[in-house]
Amino acid sequence: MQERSDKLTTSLNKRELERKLDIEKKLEGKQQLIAEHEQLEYFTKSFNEKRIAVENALKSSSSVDVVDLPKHFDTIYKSILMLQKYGASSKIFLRMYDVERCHQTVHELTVRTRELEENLIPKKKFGFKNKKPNITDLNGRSEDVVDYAAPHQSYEESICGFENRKNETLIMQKSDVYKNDVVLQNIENCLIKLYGTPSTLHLNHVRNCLILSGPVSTSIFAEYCNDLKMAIACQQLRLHSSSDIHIYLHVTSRAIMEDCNNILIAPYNFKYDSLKEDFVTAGLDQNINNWTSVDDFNWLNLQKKSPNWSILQEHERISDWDNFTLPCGKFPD
Amino acid sequence: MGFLTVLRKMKQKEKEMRILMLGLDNAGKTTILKRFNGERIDTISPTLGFNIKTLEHRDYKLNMWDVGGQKSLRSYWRNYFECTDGLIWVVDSADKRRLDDCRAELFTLLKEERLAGATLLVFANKQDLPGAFSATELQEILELAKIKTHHWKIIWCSAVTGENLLSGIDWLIDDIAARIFTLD
Repeated sequence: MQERSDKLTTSLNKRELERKLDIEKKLEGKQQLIAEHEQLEYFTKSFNEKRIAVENALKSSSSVDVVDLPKHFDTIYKSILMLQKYGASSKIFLRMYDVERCHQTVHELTVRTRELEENLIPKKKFGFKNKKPNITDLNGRSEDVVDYAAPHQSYEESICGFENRKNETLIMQKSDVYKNDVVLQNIENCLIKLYGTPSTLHLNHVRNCLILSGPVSTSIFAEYCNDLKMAIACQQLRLHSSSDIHIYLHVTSRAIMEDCNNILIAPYNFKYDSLKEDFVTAGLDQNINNWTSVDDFNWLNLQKKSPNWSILQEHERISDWDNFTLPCGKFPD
Repeated sequence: MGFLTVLRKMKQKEKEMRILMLGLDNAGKTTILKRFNGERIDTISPTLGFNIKTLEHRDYKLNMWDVGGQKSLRSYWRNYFECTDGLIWVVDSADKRRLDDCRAELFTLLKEERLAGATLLVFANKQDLPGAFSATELQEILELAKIKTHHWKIIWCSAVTGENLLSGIDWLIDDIAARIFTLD
């Protein structure tokens, strides 16, 4: 009997405890719901405030001075972005519906801003025009032709190197080229000697020349070159749209060519007093020369060698550059 | 839930970003990638094809795609556009002769639909060279202000010295992160 009443009391107590816990849980849940609701309410309120601010800014657009318009729209775009970010960071406690609505609002605002911007700021015709009028404009081209290739001469006011030379001997010394980006442009029938270590070497429209250069610490980039003989050392050689070139090459990584033909390659053989130190200065290893590693971008067949380049036969190589003359005749002194 | 949504959700969880690095040849794309990854840069050869590296940076997993910039490779760039979160456009700031080319290629790229929404970081590389254009000058020359379709920023750097690479990448990550975690 006693035992039974004990059992009953225990089970009663247990149920009482469970009931209390349940109430507590429900209460907690309720409070959480309220908190969530408050959070949501707060979010809706401040989101709306921000939205209204953007809308007001949009409304005031028509009274903004034309000069200040781009800046005005930039600010609007920024505040829309802020709005979007605010929505994103509140995503944890938002309902799917709210997230969707936020997204829609942001989208609508962006579209409206863009439309307004297009209406208010007269759009220039899209095109790359020269800032300075130049000769190409006189050839009967209408103004709104999109002219990607027109030369912007104005960029190249001060170059390190030579341009527009003919029938000359051009020499640069160590101090002239050291760590510089050396450019050789529009050069014909010249002997060019670069002693020392340029950082990079650019060749553009060079024809019928002999180029002898010390070690270039990074890349040599050649484009539109024809009938050259050159002895060059570098980390990378990039040869583009060129033909009929004999290269006496030292390259520590690899050489590539694109749209080239009749390129003949031999090992580097330009010698001068401080060559060894210059290799060290340029950071090139004189013992690593991958002059036969040439990748032709127009020849992706691994089985067959590219027909665009080959190795210059030993008996055809020139060993003495001092007494060399170009086919066009002697170099002027 | 479509397949793409599932993909996006997975990406969010792993904090993974796909970054495409493009630019004219000889701009220094591979050098930037290798320098950022702490590898040697003196043995880099011109990129015949592409390099992929997965880097861990600030808790993010960055899938970096570096595609060769030679003229004959540019038509293949579009094969890499899909799912790109960030685009790094690398400019050789000292190569004044090809800046028009550079701008034209960039704007052609930005018209690409599959790159819509990608954040654009322009690296004004090779600032170690004397006579290199500054980032501000390049912004003007490349007419970056005309870009309305993408979030963009131009940042100077030197891949050879490693200067400023981090701050560029950090900006890119922040901008992408702000966007990826937004419902699209």
